[in-house]
Amino acid sequence: MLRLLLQKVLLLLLLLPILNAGAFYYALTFAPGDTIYIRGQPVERPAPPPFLPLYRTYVQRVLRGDFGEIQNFPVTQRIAQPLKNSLVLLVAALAVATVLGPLLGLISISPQTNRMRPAAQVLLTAGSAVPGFFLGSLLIAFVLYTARQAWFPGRGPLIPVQGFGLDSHLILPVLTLAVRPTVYVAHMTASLLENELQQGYMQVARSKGLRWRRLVWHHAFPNVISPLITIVGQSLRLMISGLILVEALFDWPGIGRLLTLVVTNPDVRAQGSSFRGYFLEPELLAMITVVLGILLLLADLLAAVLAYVADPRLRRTTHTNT
Amino acid sequence: MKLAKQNYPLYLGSVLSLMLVALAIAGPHLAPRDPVQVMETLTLNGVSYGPPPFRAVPPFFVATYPLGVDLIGRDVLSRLLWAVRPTLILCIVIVLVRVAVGTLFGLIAGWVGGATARVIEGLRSLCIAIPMLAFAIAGILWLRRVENVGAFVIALTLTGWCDTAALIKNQTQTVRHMPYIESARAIGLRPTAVLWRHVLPQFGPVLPVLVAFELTAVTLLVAELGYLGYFVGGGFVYQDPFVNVYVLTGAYPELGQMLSQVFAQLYRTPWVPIFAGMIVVLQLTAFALLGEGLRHRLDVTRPRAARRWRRWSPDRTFYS
Repeated sequence: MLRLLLQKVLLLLLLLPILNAGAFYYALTFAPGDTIYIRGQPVERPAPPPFLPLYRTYVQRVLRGDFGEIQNFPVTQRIAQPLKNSLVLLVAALAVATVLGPLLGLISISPQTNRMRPAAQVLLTAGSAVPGFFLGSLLIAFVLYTARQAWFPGRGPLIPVQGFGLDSHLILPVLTLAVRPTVYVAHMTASLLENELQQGYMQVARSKGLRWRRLVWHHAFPNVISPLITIVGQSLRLMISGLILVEALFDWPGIGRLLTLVVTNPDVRAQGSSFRGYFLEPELLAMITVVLGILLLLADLLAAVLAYVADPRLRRTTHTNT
Repeated sequence: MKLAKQNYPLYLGSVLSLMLVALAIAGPHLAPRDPVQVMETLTLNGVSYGPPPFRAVPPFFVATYPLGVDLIGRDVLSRLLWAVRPTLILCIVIVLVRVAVGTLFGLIAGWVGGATARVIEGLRSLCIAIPMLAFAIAGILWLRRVENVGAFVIALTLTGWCDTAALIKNQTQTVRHMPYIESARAIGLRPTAVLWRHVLPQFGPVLPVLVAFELTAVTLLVAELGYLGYFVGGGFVYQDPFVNVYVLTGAYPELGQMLSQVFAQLYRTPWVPIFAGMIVVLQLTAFALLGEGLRHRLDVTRPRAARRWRRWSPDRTFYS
């Protein structure tokens, strides 16, 4: 257990400088491919600054604790608030996926709920086939349509469609973010439980006359919980990747939106504001990449540790080859 | 536990996938109009419809434009029929490259083991540590110099080979210690020959499922990228010579392009992303069902209903 933890932490510490350097290099040497014409004149592009000297000074500053400044604000301060906003979304979506996912999976295979099974299976298939942003756009369009047609006169849009807020502003973004991971977890729970419920010991337990609830929760579920934790960790990574899209769609000031602002050319930015201040700032991009990398690898680490803790079978055999 | 008698996901999934492939092949021939031709102004009941700044023709309104027109007045039905082909080809190419690269890395990691496997695991962790969408955006922006489709393929493959590699590595490790591999080496087969003849065919059952699920993931990524504004095919600015109207839009019909600029299209032509999204949902459903059905079919540990044995199976003739 300690060895697994140590391995993963070492990997984390090894990868972070690579991510940092890669993002710094990208920000410094990126040049848009096509020639951009503004009002008919091609835009003159300056030569990219040399990477190594700049990176060396950056690393020296980081080792002294100064992560750089952007527009007279320290980078850490600039990232802190969006990070918190994103974490709100992630925690809410994770709660939804962890609670609803296994429930939906259980419903879709349990013989107690035979009448619900076709509906649950259709829901699972539909849920894994609908892209999150499509569902989000449909919901936004629907809410705006009800407001425009004044179905509820005098009230305007029922649910706020965009913007940040810790109240009902949370509904649509969390829904959009959580749909695919929930359905993924439900699929995996269904297949794992199905596999588990056909084992020999389940047949013995059933012939003993135990009730369904005890069969599932006391006998089958503990064997399933360890792969399930790994799967919830994977779905957390899916969610972090989906943050970019959800924040762009719902104008949620989070770290995904910050990343989009830094990486996309403000001249041809498709969605989002025309704010040009952060485009390709090296320190900001490096910091964001490192933070996202930490989040993702921590999710991986946490899932591995929790799976190890939850399943005694994993503690018997030690990790031999990665 | 009641077992499903028929493998509905497999049937439904393969029917839908075949429909999509047929649409990709025959779509452009079925399109009633040219997908890049801007419509002429027409007047109905005193209201003028046409390219901006006129109003847009809504769907199911006029017989000649069954699904309405898009942002600058091109027929949506023709664009949809034309658009399935490039998107499908792009997705298939990306999946093939991903699976190939992942298989290669997985084979190397599983077969050689030791330090090489650790290096590949480290690379895999690096790929896990970068959100796929962010990397795809960065990669596409970086590689736009090269070529559009190539940029897409490279950007989506560079971090996408992880899952395939993990699966193939596990399988290779299981197979490596089998006696027949040892005897193959003992009679003098070179490692590459052993891999090609004995190890690779073992991945046969697992590969269709993998490809189906990868198709789902890649279609989703391509749709998301299209939504954010990165799609194959150029863009241009449509200008009306008489009125001051400038609209940035895509030229070549592609599903990602039709899904993009949702908010720009929301008040003028909201049905375009909805129709394009429905085709994407169809594609995703087809591939997801196919993957699910194949997984059911090829999983040997599931209890099956008794099947009729073939009359000339070897053990029956032996004992008859």
